[in-house]
Parts: sequence; structure tokens; C-alpha cells
Amino acid sequence: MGGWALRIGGRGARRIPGLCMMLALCASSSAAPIEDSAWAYDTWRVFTTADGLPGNYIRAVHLSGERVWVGTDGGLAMLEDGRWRSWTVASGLPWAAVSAIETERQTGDLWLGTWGGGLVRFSGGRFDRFDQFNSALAGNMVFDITISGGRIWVATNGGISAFDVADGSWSLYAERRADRPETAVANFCVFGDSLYAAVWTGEIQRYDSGRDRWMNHTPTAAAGRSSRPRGVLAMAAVGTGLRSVSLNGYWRWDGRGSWTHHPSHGLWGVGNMVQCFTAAEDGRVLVGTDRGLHILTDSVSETWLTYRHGEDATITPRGGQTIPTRGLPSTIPDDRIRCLAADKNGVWVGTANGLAHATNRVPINKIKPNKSDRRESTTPAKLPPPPAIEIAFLGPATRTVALPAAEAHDISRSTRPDLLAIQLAVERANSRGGYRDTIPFSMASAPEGYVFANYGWSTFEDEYLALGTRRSLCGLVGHLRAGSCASTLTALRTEAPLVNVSLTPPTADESISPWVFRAPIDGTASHQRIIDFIIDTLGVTRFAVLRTAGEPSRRHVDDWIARVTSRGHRVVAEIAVPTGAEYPNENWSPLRNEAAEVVLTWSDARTSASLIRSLRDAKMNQLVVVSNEALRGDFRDLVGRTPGEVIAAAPCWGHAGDATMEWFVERYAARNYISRTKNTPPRPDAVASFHGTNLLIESVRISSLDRQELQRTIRDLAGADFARFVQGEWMLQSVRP
Amino acid sequence: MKRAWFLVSLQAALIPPADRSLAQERRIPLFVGRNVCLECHDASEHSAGVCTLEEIPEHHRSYRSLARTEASHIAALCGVAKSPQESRVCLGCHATAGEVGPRWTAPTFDIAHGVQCEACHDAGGMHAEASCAWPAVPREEILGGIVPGDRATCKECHGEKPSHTAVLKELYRMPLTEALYKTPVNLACSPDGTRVYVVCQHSNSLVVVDPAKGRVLHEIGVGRQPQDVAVSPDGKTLYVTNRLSDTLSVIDTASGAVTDSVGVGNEPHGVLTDATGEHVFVLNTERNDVSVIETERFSELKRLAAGRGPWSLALSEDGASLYLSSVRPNSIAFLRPSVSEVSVIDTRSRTVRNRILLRDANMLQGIASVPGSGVVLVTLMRTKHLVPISRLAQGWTITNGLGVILPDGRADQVLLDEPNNAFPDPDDIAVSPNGRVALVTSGGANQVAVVDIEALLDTLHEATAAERQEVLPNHLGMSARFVVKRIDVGTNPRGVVFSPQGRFAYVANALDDSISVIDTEGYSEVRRISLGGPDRVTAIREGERVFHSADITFGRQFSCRSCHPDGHINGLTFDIEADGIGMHPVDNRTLRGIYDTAPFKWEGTNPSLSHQCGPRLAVFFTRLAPYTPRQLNALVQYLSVIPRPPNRHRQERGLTIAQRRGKLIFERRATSNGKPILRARRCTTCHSRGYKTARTSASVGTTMWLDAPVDIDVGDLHEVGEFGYFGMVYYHDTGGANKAFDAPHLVSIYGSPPYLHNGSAPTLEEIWTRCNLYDEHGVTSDLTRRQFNDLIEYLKAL
Repeated sequence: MGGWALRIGGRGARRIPGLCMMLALCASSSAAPIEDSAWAYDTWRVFTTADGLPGNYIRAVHLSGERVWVGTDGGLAMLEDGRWRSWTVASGLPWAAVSAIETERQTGDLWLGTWGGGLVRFSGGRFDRFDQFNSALAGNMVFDITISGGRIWVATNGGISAFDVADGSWSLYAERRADRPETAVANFCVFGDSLYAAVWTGEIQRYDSGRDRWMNHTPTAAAGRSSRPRGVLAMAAVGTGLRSVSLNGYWRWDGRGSWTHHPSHGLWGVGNMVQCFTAAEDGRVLVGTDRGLHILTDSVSETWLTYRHGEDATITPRGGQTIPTRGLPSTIPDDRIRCLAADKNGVWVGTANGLAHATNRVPINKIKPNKSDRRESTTPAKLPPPPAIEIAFLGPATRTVALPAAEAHDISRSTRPDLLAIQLAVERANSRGGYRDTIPFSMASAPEGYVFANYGWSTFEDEYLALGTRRSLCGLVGHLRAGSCASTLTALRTEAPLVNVSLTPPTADESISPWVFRAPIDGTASHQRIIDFIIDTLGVTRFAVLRTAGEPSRRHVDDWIARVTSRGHRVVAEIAVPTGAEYPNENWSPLRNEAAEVVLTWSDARTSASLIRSLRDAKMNQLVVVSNEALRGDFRDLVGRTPGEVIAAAPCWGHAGDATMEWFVERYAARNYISRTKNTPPRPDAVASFHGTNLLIESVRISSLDRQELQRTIRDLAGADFARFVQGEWMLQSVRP
Repeated sequence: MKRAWFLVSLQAALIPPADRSLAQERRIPLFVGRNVCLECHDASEHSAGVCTLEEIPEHHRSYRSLARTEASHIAALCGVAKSPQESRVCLGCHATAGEVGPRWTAPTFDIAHGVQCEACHDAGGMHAEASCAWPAVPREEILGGIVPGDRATCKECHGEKPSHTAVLKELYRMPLTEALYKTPVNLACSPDGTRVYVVCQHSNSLVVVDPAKGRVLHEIGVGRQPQDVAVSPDGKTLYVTNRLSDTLSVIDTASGAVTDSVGVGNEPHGVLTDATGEHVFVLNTERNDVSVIETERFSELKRLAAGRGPWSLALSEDGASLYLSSVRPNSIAFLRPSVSEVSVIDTRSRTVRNRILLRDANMLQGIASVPGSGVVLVTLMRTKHLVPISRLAQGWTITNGLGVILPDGRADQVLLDEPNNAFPDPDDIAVSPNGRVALVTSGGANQVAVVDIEALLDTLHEATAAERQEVLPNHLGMSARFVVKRIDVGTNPRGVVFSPQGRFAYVANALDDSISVIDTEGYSEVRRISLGGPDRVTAIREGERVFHSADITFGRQFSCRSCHPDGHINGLTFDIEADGIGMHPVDNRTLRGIYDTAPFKWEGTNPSLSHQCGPRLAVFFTRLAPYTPRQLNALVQYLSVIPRPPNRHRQERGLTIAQRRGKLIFERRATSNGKPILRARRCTTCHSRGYKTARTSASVGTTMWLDAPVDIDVGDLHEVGEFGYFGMVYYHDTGGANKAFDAPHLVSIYGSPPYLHNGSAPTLEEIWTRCNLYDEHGVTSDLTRRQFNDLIEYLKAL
């Protein structure tokens, strides 16, 4: 082994043969020596806007004959005979961000998937747009396009649509029930005679052409549901089988019936999301992640070569440690790999900051170190620092046919309490110096001037995506609703933490997304803490319930009761009371007879006050737990006497000693022209949004703008300290009169 | 005893296994028929109640009545092509389940029983099945799928129908001999010039003419409503497109026999082969695409995306390119100028290579390439649809001319009109083999224009770029430079073709069943060859001539056909009223099968076609004396029989599963979560029965400030909050300002975009996704994407 050898970092230099011998011991007896089969790309070239691309954020690369089609956030580009030609919105492209490209060989038409604008046919220089408002396209966020059986198959955030070019008909494969999440599909894969789909919000599915249905294509039932691919991020046909990466691991199907599952691969996972996955005809397997490009350089020993921006490439054998190399510096322009396309000479790598073309595949041990003269690279254009760190608001997404109402367009005219609360949180952060005391936070808004996501099936993608592509965006605050996953997808694909400030149970897609966090305004958790506080701190265990009519009351009271029961106690008395009434002669004897020590009730302020007044008049002095809405500033006046021992169930406005909330309530009232004397409290969703935004801002302050670090920080804060800070024991102690 | 039979037989025989599983799986009930209903709902003392409908015997005779001669007359009068007993329009009121098709009926169902219980109460399959298990199943389940009938349901059918009155009162009987007319619309010459092949639209035939002897040799039957003919380069094969059959007839010229019939896309129009004859290109005008057919096995290779309403083709001199004209503009964005397309197909790769746009132009019909110059000429109209039509007096409503496509892809436009002497409805164009002269037919003026191509090109070259863009397309006096002559020919000249040597040209005179032979030495008509149609001119034929004639309009600018080509639409919205720029725009509506859909006009103020086309036509459109009573009567009779093409979204067996689901949504009375839908907001309230129109007007929240009857301070419109999605104000919350518009019939609604009274919805979907923000045009906001798609599928099948 003369000549050049890779140098392995760490404790001094070693030579590859040593590594290979070690691998050979670990691997099967048929494992080939790594020095014979491992290879790497020797020549890299980077293209950016300086070379003629309409944008540096590359979302799709498609090879068609001698042409290379590239979809960017700024438009479509084509490389032919060494020259770039581009199409933008100004030149007729209906939507700037192009996320999928496919050529229809028969007609020569190009089918473009856009990131928010639906499907586009590019034919003879004309762009025809099909979106979810004028066709049966399932969603406007297109992840992938493939052509099979004479139909254009489109994978979207809302399911799958197929367009039959011959007869112009559409087929829609989407979730039927309105109360279930929509089906987001990451990509297609044609394997054998069948078409497969990687369902981001589900499993791998196979199209059954006989029944015209998509069927689950997963391990047998005996394997159990827990051992199925769940949250499939990408899939590719490799050799005689399929490989897929899902949120619960790495899956291989041998094409017959055998599945292999690797729960953790080591190279990717949470915080290092797989964005694309492709295999060339010659067996090359390439995986693009948020943390670089991984190439299966030796399939026998499952050895991966990893390229990252500005670092030497690394080698990772299966089960082995990652080995840094010297002499294989990577010139990929960014670690965030967004798309891949392998040709016979090399691979096109689309990143979040430029397009790279790697060629000249040579065995690793033939590469001489520091051959910088063979790497033609164009350094990506340095973007100016953002003027501010932006936080975007995603409104509640509900399924409906109609587009936004006119009044929802302008953020400045909005009277939404949650939006106003976010604005106030941003102002508060800026009053304290912003980020690193210099850079202000700001509210992001879409180019059209509005940021709502109230309407449209599943989301208002246009605005979501316009926000998601802003480089200065550091996070999202918004509402997730069951039935929509586009918010989650936006967070995933833009790597922006999304703080869910909804007061609803977790959605299905939320629970599997690493980029979505709950604001610490979880109603159930809050109720649990109250009960725990009462039992553990106050030592009280005999609970009674006064039920008022209505859904909120039922849900919250049930949460309390569930916690009481789970702690091994029981509700000793339960009385149904009408809402909004006076209770001068109410019979409270069940409470007295059962010696109830705590009374739980959930209602508005006036009803709660009436109940407390009636209880106190009847000499009932139990601790009363009321809703957050009840405990207003004029609560004492409503009760008309000393209320006694009362605590609130959830964060409320204006607690003595809480400067943050005082600040918020004061400005909230001022902005809403609410008289301070009336003391109308902010709505719970406003409070939640305020806290959620503060969580995001504090996380940015504590960590940095590095997405992975930010992700870790926010998870820590949301899970522990911050939650305690905003609504834990502190809350209960301070509310008690 | 009866009930026992019922219990046993129902499970076994009521629903066939396949459909039973389908019905159970999809929860879509089948129609079971009155006999099953009467098992329980009879006159016995244990009866669950008898349907009042059953007590009226005429209901049971209603289906059989469709076999009467009068029914045929009524159907013909309404433009119904099928037998009345097969027509969904007729069956909508004369039978039960006629609309959904046999796929959704159980074996127990017999359509011959006419109007049965399920006509009002909807399909009872699930109800009948659940009743077997009574009382073990809850009442809600037993009533599954059953809807209560009321008097409003009766009114859906029992309303005034002019067609029935006209026939049954013997006021009018449809002459069933109209098909004897030929109506030649296009023609082609054999390579040796000895034969002229003429496509005859009414007689569904191709007539072979010997031009030298001036006589018809023979006539070959083809498909329904043939439109265009092409000759293979070797002259051995003819290709004829059949618009209503969706087929291409292949004819052997030697034997005169139809050797093949190839299925193509919807409403095929233009047809042409490439230079080698190996491929035939067929323009599917309703589907906006091109079928590419290889001629060895006559199989369709692919479909290429064309412009909207692709119409005619021309092959470039070198054979490398095909040029396609399009009658409807590409852009149907709300209140935007029209932009029409000439598509260019590369004949080697058979892909679309380029699309040349002609701005402010529409109705691109005839197209021809000029030998020796690389220039392509296309006929066009320039319709000023965004300004008040009252500008007719200033010569501005519709101008007619040519598009000139230069070899570099640039497109110029010139007019063929003269001041006070327009050249209405330029239909077709042919260029002489030497490339010097072009002949253009004017269907509205019964003339052929002789264009000196060299002078035309000189006119363009002498003009500045600005003049070519702004002046020439609008200059009425410029035609004097290049229009050498106008030749009077027969009635409604359409197709025109030169003989191969260029000695003669032949013109198809559509409405007098003849061919004009033009001698190109003096450019005059030297002979008129009759194709053998009847001499007698019926009222309908006379009405057809009135419809196609521009004599009624000021300056002879346009005819009815200018906006309603073939009785259909040109895809534009018009500013009819003389009340300002752009106010009260109204969408152009199809005339296909409209007879019983009164009232007319979008505001529903014209109770009859006579009223619609009477004096008001002169006031708002033609600006000359109105039609004479005889002309008006003839025109109304013609309008009554414009046929409706078959619905391409509807299968023979009936509705598909998705369409049936969509029908349930269309007819629903409650939202997905069970909340009742107000009667005024149900689909079926305004769109009921056969034509899917209750023939009433309704306010559905589509009023814009353009339609506002109230004074508006224009300055207010700049308030951001006042703008709707299109920058328009929707009077959704001020009931007084909401205007009611006519509820249009929905038969074949898929074929006439844009939609709504002002054309603000380019597609069916956008009626609701963009223009129904407040659930006023039916309640749709609760629908899932899939449910909404089902609804659209159903609407397309109507």
C-alpha cells in the first residue's frame, strides 16, 4: 500500500488497511476489502445565482437527456450546452418555488411541482397551472411528481392526485374523513410494475391499479403495528428492493416479503432529517440530510461517505465510528441537502445554498490529498445579514373550500388576540435589546401582506410557504389543528421550530415531528398540576364538582376528575348547576354531607362568582378552583364579598408580582382600547400565544440561530423549566388570595 | 305473507352481489322501485303509510308517454338528440332514477313504472334493507337515505314548459326533415385536382364532387356532425373528423368506403396529415388538445396540449411545422383582454415547439402558410368585450382581420374591414400555390376577400414598430391596400381551398348547400355547384341563415355566430349596457339545448326566446332595425334545435361511484355535522330536475360592485378592507344590495367556462373555492377536498 493513504483524525495517523482489517473482522466473511470498492467523487463544481440560477435554494434537480432542469426558490432553470436559461415569475412562471420536476417523454412537456402553487405544465413555452382551487389537485405543496400508466402522479401535502393526460380526468386519493389528518406524501418510487408512495404522515403505500386504491405496503401484521415504517421521509428502489427512511428508523424491503429494520442508523435521525434519498441504476445510494450528503460507498460493508460543507469528508462503516479523513475536503455549498439526481458521471446535489455537481468517481485510495486544482468551485454568494430575526404567525388551519375573507388580508387591521399577543411579545423582546442586544425581532408577514392560515383545505399554503422560505425566519408560532399537517410540514422543511399554541390535544403529525413544540399552555397538564398541587402541597383529597353546561366545562372538569382518580382519590360529590344563574337557595348539602374539601367548577366569571357567593353565604368555605376566565380583576366585585380561598386553573392575566404578564396585560388592553378599569382579561389563546412567542424568543437568546441548537434548547425549555416558570407552582401560589 | 316473502327475497334478490357490496361499502343506496315500497306502504291496516304520489295514475304513465309522437316533437324542439326514453333531460321528470343510470338500480326496479315513490324520497335501498331488521334497528337507520317530499318537490317538475305547450297545444310541430340539408362546412382537393371532397355537417356525409363537370359523384356517410377533411399526400385516403361522434373516419378514395373509425378526443374539428402521411393530427376542440395518430395501425400515440378550442391546421412549406389556430382565447381571467394562441408543432418529434400569442384577438379559425415566405396567415376577430357594446356606432365592437405570423415568430394583426363595410366572421383562409394571393371567406357577409399577400407584407414592413402594434390592428382603412376584391358567393361561405395548380378555388356555401367555383384569373365566381340539398327553405333553415348573417348589425360588423360559434360560446364576458366602462359584465352563455330553460338573460328578465331576440337585441346589440316577425320566428325556431353534444363525462351505465357520491352531496339537506341547510342554500332549490334549473332567479352572493344598483363612491374602492379576492366588493353582508341572477341550467355545464353571471369563475371548482366565501352559493365550506371533488364530478356528468 504505497503512495497516498487517508489520514484518520484523532489519536494520530492511521492507514486505511488497518481500518479495513478491522472492518473485515466485524463484517461478514464475504465483505470486500474497503480499499478495493470504496470510492468518492473527486471533482466538484458549484453553481449559484452568480452562474445564472434564479435562486440559491435548490428544491429539485431533474435530468432529461442532455438537459439539467433545476427548481429553485426563485424559479426554474435549465442547463444545456454549458449555458443556463431561467424562468421566473416575471417571465410567466406561475409560482417561484419549484419543488419537483418531471418530463413527459411522449409529449416533451415538463411537469413542475411548486412549493405552494400547485402543479404546472410547461409546454411549448406556456405555463398551465393546476392547483387545489381550480382542479382536483390534493394540495398546493408538491413534493414529487412521477409519470406512470399514462398519468401524472402528484404527491402533495394533502394526498395524491393523478392527472390523465389522454382524457384530462383527475383522480384524487386523499383522506376521506374530515376529522383525520390529511395525507402528506413525501415521494414516489416506481419499483417493478408497481408504484409506491412514501407517506410522510403514515406508512409506505402501493397503488393497486385493479382496485384503483392505495394500499398499505408494510411488514406483515404479525410484526405488529409498532414495527412498521411510520412517518416515511423518503424512499428509493435499490437493486431488487426498496429502502426507506422513516421517523422510526431505516427500513429495507427485499422485494419479496422480507423486511429489515434498523431503528437508528446513526447518520440521521431527529435533528438531522433526511430530505431526499435516491439510488442510481449502478447501485449508488445517496441520502441528503440536513447535515450533509451521505453516499453508500461500499454496499457490502454498508460503509458511508459523508460530505459536509467546509469539512473533510468522513467515513462511517456499519456499526463503526465515524472516521474523519484528511484529503477529501467537501465543496458542497451547504449542509442542508434538498434534492439529488444521479447521472452516469456523477451526482447533482441541490442544497439550501447552491447547486453542486460531483463527478469523476474514483476509488478512495486513488485520490491524492489536496487536489484542489481539480475542484472547480464557485463560492456561493454571501447573503447580507438579515435586518431582523423574524417570527411568523401561522393561524388556525381548518378545512374549508373558500379562500380568505377580505378582512383577513391585512395584518395591521387584524383584531385577532393571538396575533396581537405575538406582536406584544416581540415588542417586549426588542425593548430588552432584541437578539444579542443588537438585532431586533420582528413579525414576519408574507409578501402579499397577510399571514393568516384560516382558510383553504389543510392550510393556506401560499402564505405558509412564503414565510417558510424567508431566510431571516427563526421560528413559527401558530395553531395546529387535527386534519391539517401543512403547518408541521412547513416547519419540517424549513427547519424552523414551530411552537404550537393551540389548546387542543396533540395532532397526529405533531406527535411525530421533531420541529413542533407545544407552548407550555397545555390545558391538560395545567389541570394535572393543579390537582397535584392540591393533593401534594395542600394535602387535600376530598374533591367535589359543580358541573355547568357546555363543552368547555365538560372537558376541563373531566380532566380534573381523571387526575383525581389517577392519584387514587375520588370525587365525593357532583352537582349539576345551570349557567348564568343566581344560586340563593341552592342545596349544597351533598358537599356538606360528603365533607368536600375542594370544589371544582369551570364557567365564566359571572357564574363562578355567583356560585362562590352562594357557597360562602351557605357557610361553605372550601377551596374553589375556577377557570382562568373567571378570575378577572373585578372578580371580587362580582362575588360581592370576600371570595375566600380561590385559585385559577390556567394562566390568567395580571398576577401580582408577575411583571411579564402585567406588561402584557397593560399593553394588550391599551391596544384593544380596553379600559383598564374594566379589566377585561386577554383571551386564553392570546395568553398562550404570548407565552409561546416568549418561549421561542428565550430559546433564541439562550442558544443561537443554529437550528439544531435551537431545537435542543426549545425542547428543554418547553419540557421543563419554562413550563414551570409560566404556569407551575409559581402560578398557583401567587393566585391564592 | 307478503311481508314474509319480502324478508326472504330482499336479501337474496334485491341487490346484486357486486352492487350490494358497493352500496354497503360506500353507504350509497340503490333504487328499488315501487313494488318493494308497496310491500310495506300499501293500503292494509298495518301499512306504514302510502305515498301520495302513488294515488295519481298519471305518474305511472309518465315514462310510457315518452314513446308518443308528441314526445319526439318536444325532444326535437329542445335539441335533445336521443330518444326521449333515453334522454336524461326527459327522464328527469318522466321517470325515477333516470338521471343516475341503471348502475344504481336494483333488479326489482322497473323504470317503466314512471314516477315512483323514490322520485321524491330518493333511493330506498338502505331503507328497505334496514326495514327487514325492524324493530331491532334504530329508527335513524331505517330512515337512512330517505328524504321527506314536499310541495316544492312537485314544483320541480310541474312548472311551465314552453316546449310541451307548443307541441301539445298543436301550436308548433317540429319538421323532422331538417336533416336532409347538407350544410357543407369544409372541403379539400385531391392531389390531382380532379376531385373536391366536401364535408356536410347536417347530412353527416362527405360529398365527392367532380369540379370539372360540376356535379356530385357520390356521397359517403360518416359520423355525426362532420367538420373537416384532409387528404393523405398520396391521395389514397381521406380523413374526416366527426364532432359529435368523437371519431375520425378513414375513407379509401378508390372504393369510397369508410375503412376505419378511430376514436379521438372530445369534439374533433381540424384534421391534417404531416408531409409523409405517416401521422394524422386531429384537433379536439372541446378538450383543447391534439390527437396524434399513426396511420399504419391507426392508433393514437399521444395528445398534445393545444390552445383553447383548437380549430384548424396548416403545414409549413418545408413540412417541419404544423400551425394550429384556436377559437377561444387562452386567458379567461376575469375582465382581462383576450389573448389567443397559434400553437406550433414540430412534425418530427411531434411535440409542441412554440406558442405564438395574438393579443386582443379571438376566434382564430382559418389558417394557412404562404409558400416561399415562411409566413403564416390566420383569420381572427378583435372583440372589444370590455367596453360598452354601444360603441358599435363608432365601429368598435368587433373588427375582423388577419393575423400575420412571420418566420421569426412575431405576430402582426391587420383588419379586413372597411369603414361602414365590415368583413364579418372570417372563417377560413386559403393561399394560392404560388403564395401571392389569399382567399378569406366571410360567413356573415357571404363574400370572399382576395388578399394580395405581397401588398400585405409591404404594408407591415413600411410601418413602424409602434404602428404595427397600435395602428394596424385597429385601422379600418388599411385593408384597401391589400384587399384587392370581394367576391359575392353563396350563403354563409365557410371552407375555402385552392386547386393544386391554383387555377380555381372552391368555397363551401354552408347554408345553401352549394360550392362556389372561383376562377383565379379574374377572381370571380364562375360556377355554383349544388350538392343536392332540398330547395325548400324551412323556417329553421331560414332561422339558421338569420343567425349566421351580419346584415342585421350596424356596419354589418357581426352576426349571432360571431359570439356563439356553432351555437356555443366564445369564452368571453361582455359589457352589454351603455352605462360606463366595464360595468355589468355578463358571461356569454351557450345556446345548446336552451329551449325550456327560460327565463333568459342573466337577470332572468326575458321570459322567452322571442323576447330575448326581439327588439331589445336591436337596442343593445345590433343597433339597426329589429328582426321582422318572420325573421324572429325563424330565429327562435333555429335556436330551439341547436343540438347539445353528448356528455363525455357520463358513462353509458350511469354515474360513477364518485359521481353518485357527488349527487348525494348535491341533494343534501344538512351539512357534514348534521346542521340543517337552509332551503335557499341547497343546490336543488335552484337547480332541480332534468335541466337542473328551477327557472328562477336567486341571490347567491356573487354580486360585485360592478353589478351594484346603488351609487358607489369610486374612491372608497381603494380601501384595502373593501376589496374581495378579485379586488371587487362582494355585497355579502348587505342583503339589499345583493342582486338575484338567473339560475342557469346545468346540462353539460362542464363545456362552457367561465362561470357565474360575470364569468368570474374560470373553472367549475372556482365557483366555490374563490367565489363562495360565505356559503351563499350553496353550503360548501364544510366539504373535504374529496367530497368537493365528488360534487364537481357529478356536475360534470349532468
